[in-house]
Amino acid sequence: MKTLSDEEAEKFIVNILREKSRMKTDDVEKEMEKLDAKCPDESVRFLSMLRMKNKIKGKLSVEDKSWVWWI
Amino acid sequence: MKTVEEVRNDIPLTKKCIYADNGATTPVPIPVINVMNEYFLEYCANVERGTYSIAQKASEKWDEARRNVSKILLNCGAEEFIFTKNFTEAANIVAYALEHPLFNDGKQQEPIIRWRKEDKIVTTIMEHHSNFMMWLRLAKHLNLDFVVMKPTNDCRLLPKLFDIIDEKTKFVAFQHVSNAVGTVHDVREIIKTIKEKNPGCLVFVDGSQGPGHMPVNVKDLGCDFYGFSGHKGPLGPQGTGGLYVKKEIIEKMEPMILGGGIISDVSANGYRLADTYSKRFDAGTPNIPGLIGLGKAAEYVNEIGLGNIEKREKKLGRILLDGLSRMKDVEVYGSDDDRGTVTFNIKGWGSHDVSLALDEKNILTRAGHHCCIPLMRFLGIHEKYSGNVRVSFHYYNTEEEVKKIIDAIWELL
Repeated sequence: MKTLSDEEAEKFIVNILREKSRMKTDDVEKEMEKLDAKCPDESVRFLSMLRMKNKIKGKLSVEDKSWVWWI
Repeated sequence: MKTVEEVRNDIPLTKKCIYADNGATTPVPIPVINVMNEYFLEYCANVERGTYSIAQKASEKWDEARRNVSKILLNCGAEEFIFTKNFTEAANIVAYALEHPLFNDGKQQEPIIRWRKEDKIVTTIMEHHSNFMMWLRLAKHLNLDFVVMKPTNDCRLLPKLFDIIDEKTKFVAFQHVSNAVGTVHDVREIIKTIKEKNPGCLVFVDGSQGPGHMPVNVKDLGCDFYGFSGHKGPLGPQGTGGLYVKKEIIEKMEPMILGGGIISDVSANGYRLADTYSKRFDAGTPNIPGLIGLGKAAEYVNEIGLGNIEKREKKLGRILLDGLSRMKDVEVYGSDDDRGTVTFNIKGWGSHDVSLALDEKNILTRAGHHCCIPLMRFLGIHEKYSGNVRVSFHYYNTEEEVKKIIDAIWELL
């Protein structure tokens, strides 16, 4: 499995969230796995970092037992 | 004895969040920061080199730090104690010395272990990668058998499991405390079992989660090597650590790094290393402020009382274990013994999602494999949860904080 660079992972995540509108952490990982790829860091940490940089939005969803992410 | 409130006052971070990631690193108390500041501001000189007064002061403080750290944290002498930058370096120093005989006085000396075909190196599946990879590499380099023991299902390394040690087993490496499930192993009894099976087998103990969290007496444990990090239990700064080596072994150890400050003579034909064995491992300018800080940190945890720290961490861990035991969708790992580190998962959640959720409540935990992928696979949680969530306490954590952690986990169920 290929570990994406920060730039590649960010581009992939932003594109997939634009397309799917709202995704759980696990769903983002699965989309990446389809390309035999993974985030440069643990997915949640990477997604959280993108959230802190205001590139994506995210919030805790107890109902989904996960964080959910969107643009 | 310092009270919890006094220690919390010395560590401002404890007022800003619930810091429960002490298994990874610990915040540094103000008195420790002050002695490092004092070094930078008042006697910032190299050690073991200059004749001017502040250089001598730096050397004296550095030597004093070595004496304090070795005595307080491990109960050994300074001459048997090597300063390192962390536990990882300590383990690598030993692995290097087991592969390379000492070169001194222009000739190669007797090796620490005279390896033979079919000799074994034994470790356990519970180990941190920093107490695993170098032994695996050593075994492969020397064409030895590499044996990885499994613990009980509740992650204990019982002494009787070490009955597998035989005359071919020349080296065993295992942990004092698990960073991934919190188990505190009976190191003394394990070593007794090993030495009964093979008195010549050398034993290395990973003490990364030991000193500073509890009293440690390496003489009583009976180990040949004991490494630890200064920035975990001892409340020292990052980039510090240490390694105890039994006197008759340290005399034979080849330094992993050569350079200035560790020799008594050098010529085109060879060199003579320093006669003080522990100082043969200080090549190049060391982390002087950090190690002086570690010396102060050792004094600091000693003022709290290492037994008091151990007792308090166990008490806090017990409150958390009892709280988690009432949650039907929570899996807790390890035994039910009292301990200061507790790891768990919530069914249906990824471990990192849980840790990030707790961060929303200003509760700082660690999630993931904790550099113990073989153990995570053994527990069947590597793929399922991406590891586990770890709550690791120190003396300054409070009962109120533990209750807040329990409440925050309830909110996720």
